Order: sequence, then structure tokens, then C-alpha cells
Amino acid sequence: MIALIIFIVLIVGVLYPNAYTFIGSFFPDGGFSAGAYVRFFSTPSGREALTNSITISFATVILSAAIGVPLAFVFHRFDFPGRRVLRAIASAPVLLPPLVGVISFLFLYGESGIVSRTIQNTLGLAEPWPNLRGIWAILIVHAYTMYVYFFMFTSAGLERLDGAMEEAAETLGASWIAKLTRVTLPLLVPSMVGAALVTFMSSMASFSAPYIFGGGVRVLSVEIFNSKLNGNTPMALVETVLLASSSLAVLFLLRWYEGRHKYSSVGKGVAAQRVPITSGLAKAVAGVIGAGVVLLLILPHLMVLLMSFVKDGTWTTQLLPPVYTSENYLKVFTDPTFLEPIQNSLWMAGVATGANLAWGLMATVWLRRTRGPLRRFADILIVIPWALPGTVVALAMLESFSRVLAGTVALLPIVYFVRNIPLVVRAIDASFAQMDPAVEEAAATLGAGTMYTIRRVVLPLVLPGALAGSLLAFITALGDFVSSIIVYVYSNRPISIEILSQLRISNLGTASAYAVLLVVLIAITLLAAERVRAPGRDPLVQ
Amino acid sequence: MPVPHLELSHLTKQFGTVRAVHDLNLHVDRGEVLSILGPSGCGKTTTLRMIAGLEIPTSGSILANQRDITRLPARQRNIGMVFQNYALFPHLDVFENIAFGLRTRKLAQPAVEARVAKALKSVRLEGFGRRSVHQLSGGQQQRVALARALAIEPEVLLLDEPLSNLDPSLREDLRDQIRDVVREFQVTTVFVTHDQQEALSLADRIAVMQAGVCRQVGKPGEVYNKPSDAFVARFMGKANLMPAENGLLFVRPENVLVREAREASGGTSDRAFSATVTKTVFEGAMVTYTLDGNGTTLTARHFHSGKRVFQPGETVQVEIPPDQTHVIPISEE
Repeated sequence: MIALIIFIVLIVGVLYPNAYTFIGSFFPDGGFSAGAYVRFFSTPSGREALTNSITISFATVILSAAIGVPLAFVFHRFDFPGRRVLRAIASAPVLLPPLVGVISFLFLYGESGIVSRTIQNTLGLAEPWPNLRGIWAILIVHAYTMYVYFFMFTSAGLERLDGAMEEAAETLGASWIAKLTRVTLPLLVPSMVGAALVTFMSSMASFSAPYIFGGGVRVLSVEIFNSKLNGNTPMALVETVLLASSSLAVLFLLRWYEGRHKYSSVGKGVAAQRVPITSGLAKAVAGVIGAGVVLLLILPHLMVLLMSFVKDGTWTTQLLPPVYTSENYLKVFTDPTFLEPIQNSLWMAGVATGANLAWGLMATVWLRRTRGPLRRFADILIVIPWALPGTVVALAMLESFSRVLAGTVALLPIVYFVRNIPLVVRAIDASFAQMDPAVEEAAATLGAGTMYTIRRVVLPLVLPGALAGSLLAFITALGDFVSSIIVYVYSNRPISIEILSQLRISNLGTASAYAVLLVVLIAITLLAAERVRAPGRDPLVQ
Repeated sequence: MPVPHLELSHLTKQFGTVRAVHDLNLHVDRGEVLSILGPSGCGKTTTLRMIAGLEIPTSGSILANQRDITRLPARQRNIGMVFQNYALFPHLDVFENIAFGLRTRKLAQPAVEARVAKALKSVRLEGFGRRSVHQLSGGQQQRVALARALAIEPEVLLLDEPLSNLDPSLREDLRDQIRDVVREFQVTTVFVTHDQQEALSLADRIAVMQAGVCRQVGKPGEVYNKPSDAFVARFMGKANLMPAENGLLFVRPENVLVREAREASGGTSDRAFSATVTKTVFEGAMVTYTLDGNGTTLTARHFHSGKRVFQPGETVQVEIPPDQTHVIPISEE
């Protein structure tokens, strides 16, 4: 019975839409043909979109690694004033949903951006600088939002690293460079491959940056949307299949590489010592650099906050917006039409996440008790939505449900649900993994039946982690733009779509007020997630 | 002859191609404490888990009170178990941990309270009921686990390596406590350990296992002094095993007497022979000699109090009293 519910969801939500899309791409005019693929590859724009997507993603990985990895080393190896605060701020980009990050960069570094104009005025340039657009704009936004993956994965890797190994290398006569290249970096390979994987996939899937900031740069995720908008469904299907398969190809490649470079420490290990920065000059330099980094990191947040108080239509050619008002916020909270997107986002994300939690718990309990092909099949179906870009998932569901759900308010929350299946299941699974399996056996020897054990022992232990994971899913659903733009209808338009509409009619202030509210909602949810995972609830120390 | 309280017959457990337990026959009398002793991977924990119902035997049967429980689910067996890592419920306090098995039995609240109080008292943790299990030391956690298993008034109590997670300094104290509690409740007990000291001091009888097979069952003195094979001899402690006509001559190092060479000239028995000290290890209260007597290597271990410690190279007089020896018949392996 439980297995039935689990598989109905997986087959209807994951298998059917993707199979439909894949098969549909070979039936452009009702009959079987590879015609749509031929058309795609025979146009320069098609080939360009594919190459761009892949090139940008590789470049994003390199840029993000170049920022995130050294930063992780600095925080791990050195002790300096303000280290803790800076470390917390290093994750600040996480607070910005993709769309909000993009518009704040536009306000800062775009053609009429504050930073661009300031630099133009101070240096007396003829043109604003950096005047970000095109590929560089996409890359810089990507680097800002995605270096966090490298930073977090590398930090975690360094944290796990046994300090004694480096000390051992030192006693064996290794120089610092030998220590780094022969011991530390090889041991960090799994962490970095993990980060590269997530970064590459996110970059392939990235929609907001190229869509809003990319100028004429063609990338697959945006092309899919454009083809669909122009009514060229066969082309959209082909582009979807190509985006999905190139993402999956890299996924398998990196997973294979990762599998060959797994190490586990043999000993218990000691923590590495942090080197305190003591000299006055070094402290000053570190302070200045630190302050600069902080400013760069939170400037986007401050920018959106500032813009949310700007009266719509007043900022044209001035360096700074001239007129400030609180009416943007007042409007959002008093005018039902303006409040609606917030309500929509909240109920859709809420319903989707609630379903994720309930289904995820059910699925995990079942999966842990099941072996064999049925389980492997379920495992694969569960990962698929994670491996596929949001555009792909959304378009596949829109097309395959075109006769039933498309055009109703129900489809978007279902898309949110399907996209977050992997995230929530993994969080619940991790929660289960932390539980000592012997407690279930202990319950059995004390006379507890299966249901009693689940209710009295398993759920109380697993729920905090499961809830924390679900709250993260809630955040992604709340800030989602990629799948929303494909699937939404007017009556369920979420916040991100409303931000876009307000931007279109040059209501920069109103758009920013929505963005700020979104960031606040996300911040509150993150705090709540930290709370439920609070310390003192970790498994029994033995 | 009393009917055994717990009886394992021809018990076998196969994991894939690995035979964890092979044709095991054991019985435990009512109120008796049996220890299953063996190196890691010998099948002792698997045996315990089969008794608990956490593992279903491939073949063979388990009888408790002459009732076949081989395939009965763990929750219906009324067998208390103390897990190696205690497996306390981290989200429940001490009281609720101990009450868990009583609540599954739908006992009324006053009865639950009385039983928990009794269990807490017997493990000397009165007043700890409302503590979180995180606040307890390892030894206290262990006692809570014991109280939880005893509170259900189990038919049989199982202990899986009860002392292995504790500091050596705590072990002795807890070992005594476990012995007292088990005697107090007069509960039939099976405990698994790899530590022969633990087994010797706690058990009424010991079953020595190796590679899934039971090598010997007997009282602690028997197993220690009259091992049935070379494995048991070595596993129970240091052993001298010398080839003899009909098998191996076995003697514990503390029974190999060592004397000054010149003392021997007088009226010592004709069993004495002279040997050379090849190694002397001074261990504080005791001293261990490695001796070479006509090409045979022997180990001797004694309290040296008041006696001279012999140095390597010295010639000494060695005697092995015949009543301290035992002949192990050569087996075919």
C-alpha cells in the first residue's frame, strides 16, 4: 500500500513527464523522425546555445573554485580579527534567490548601475564601467552566487582533514608546496568534485542570469523558454532533451571520477592549528581586505534594500535615486492585488513542502526496509529531479500534463513538489543515518511493534533533521523563478513572477520591495531551520 | 536433572556464503549465568541476536521454557537485551527509557512508576529518573540500559559486550554491580564477551566459540585449567603447550616453578630439570621469564615478592607439578 503511493508519485511525477519529453522530441509532427534534432543542429543559433551553455558552466566552475577554495583555506588556516563574522557573511549570497541576485547586480553594475556610474564620474570616463552585460555579466553573477558551493564543500573537507597528516608530511621533509599538492589537495578532491558537480549543474540550469542580464547571449535554458513562448513546442522538447542529457553526462563523468578518488582516514585524527595573524601591518592589510570583501558580498543585499524605498519611475539618469518613499511596502500590504503574489508563493511552497515531508518520510521508511530491483528503481527516480535543470522539469511536466493540469493553479505547486523530492528525501535519509540502528532493535526487544517503534522512537529522532531539510526545500520553492515562469497562471503568480512584471513596467521600487520581502521570508525560514536542528539533539555521544 | 531454561539445538546461521554460527548446541539452566566467549567474528554476537529474535536462524531451534521461539518476533519473546552501545533512546529521559518496555505492555501508570523505581534502585541510580541520557557518564548509561532490560522482568537477560565501551578503571566496579544485580533478580543470563577475565569472573559457565563453532563449554575453572584444545588453552590466557606422546602437554605459566639452580641439588623431585633464562620481563608485582630447557621454550610467570629476579643467561631449576598439567589430545585439524 505504502509502496503503491510511493511509486504512483514517482511514476506520474518523474518517470512519465521525462519519458514523454524524450519520446516526444522524436515525434515533432506526429510521426517518428529526428527532424527536430536536425533542425536544431543545422541552425547556428542552436549550436551556439549548446556551446554557450557548456562553456559558461565550465567557466563558472573555474571562477567559483578560484574564489571559494582560497577563501576556505584562509578561514581554515588563519586567525584574524572578525574571522567569525566574515565567515558567516561569506555565505550571504545564499540569502538571495537567483532572480533577486540578478536584479541587484543589474542595479549595481549594469549600464545605469550605481557602481558603474560612480566609477564613470570619478574617473571621468566616457562610458559607464563595468557596465556588465552578456557573458561576463552571467559569469560574474554565477561566480557570486555559486562560489559558496566551493567555499562550503572545501571548508567541510578541510574540517574533516586530519591535521596529523600534514604534520606527518612535514616531519617527512615536505615543503609547504609539496604538502599542499601531494597531501592536502589530493585529500580534498572528493569535496571539490562535489562542489564542481553542484556548480556545473546549477550553472547549466541557470535561467535568471542569462534571461535578464545576458543581452543577446543564447543559452539552452532560455532558448527552451523562448521556443515554448513562440509556440515551437517540438524545438522546445529537443532543447530540453539536449540540456538534460548534457547535464547528466557531466554528472556521470564527475561521479565516476569521484568514485575513483574516495579516501577514508584510517586514524582518529587531530584538528589543524590556526595560525594567528599577529604583525600589525598584516592585521591592517587583512582588515582592509576583509572589509572590502564584506562590502562586495553584501552590497547586492543593501542595493535591493535601498531600491525598495525608491519611488517608482523617479530614477532615470541620476547617480543615486532621488526620491524615497515607503509607499512600495504600504502598497504591497494594503492592496489585495499586490498582496496576492506573496500569498500565492506562501501557500504553494507550503503545500508542496508539506507533501514533500509526508511523502519523503513514507518513502524513506519504505526504502530502508526494501532491497532489490524495486528499491534501485525508486532510488534512481528520486534522484532524477535533482539531476535535471528546473526548466527541464517544468517544461516536461507542462507538456505531459497539457490535457489535465496545465493552465490550472495546481500544476505549479506540483512542480515545486517534484523538484524538491531529492532534497527532502536526502535530508530525511541523512537524519535516519544519524540514528543508531540499535535503538530500533532495543525497542523490539522491549516489546514494541513496528508502528509503535516508528511513532515513539523513529519519528521523534528523525523529525528535527527532516523538518530542517523541508524548510530548505520551502526556501527553494519560495524563491523559484525558473519553473514558475514556465508553469504559472495569473491567479497563482508567485513573488518572483511579480518582481519580473514590475521590472517590465519599470516599477523598480515595487519590484525591489517584493525582493526584500522574499529575502526576509528566506532569512526567517533559515533561522527556523537552524532552530529545529538545534544542538543537544545530536545522537547520543558514546 | 533440571529442565534447561534456554536451549539452543543445532543452531546455524549463514550470511550469504559465510557461516557465522555452525551447529551450536547450548543450554542454560534457570538463574544460571552463561558467558559466550570468543574473538571478534567468532559468531558470539550473532548467537545472542538469534536468542533475542533480531536474527532468524538458518536452521536449528531455540527453546525457552520448552517453548519453541525460533521464529517468534523479538517483541513477543520477553527477552531483555543490553546492547553493546546501550542503544538508549536519546529523546527520552532515564525514566522514560526504563518505562519504555512497560508502556508497550500497557501497564498502568502506578505500576510503571513502581517498576521503574525498583529498577533504578537496583542499579543504584535512584533520583536519576528525570535526567537526560546525554548527561550520564558511560557507566551510568550502561546501568540505565541494564535497568531498562530488567524492568520488563525478562525471561532471559542478554548482555552484548557489556563492559567493552567503558574505561578499564570502571570495568571492575561495573562487573561487580552486574553480578550483584543479576543474582538479585535471579534472571537467566547470557552474555557475550571477548575478554576472558570478564567471562571468568562473571559466569557460572563459559562457552568458548571460534569461527562459528563451540569449542568447549564448562565451569570457569574447567575451561581455564582443562582446555579441550589448543585454541581454548591459548584464548583463556598464556599457555605452555609442549608435544607429548598422546597430544600436547598443557601448563599455565604460573604453574611453572622456577628456582635457583643450586637449591635444586638437594631433595628436589626428579621432575625438575635445568633451563636457561632467555628473557626477563619485569611487570611490577609479577615477573615473566622465557626459559629454554633442552630446546623447549617455556614461559613462567610469578609474583617475585621477596625473591631474586633472574636475569637472562642465568641457569635455573624448573619444575612442573604433574597435577597442574593436562594433556590435550591431538585433534585432526
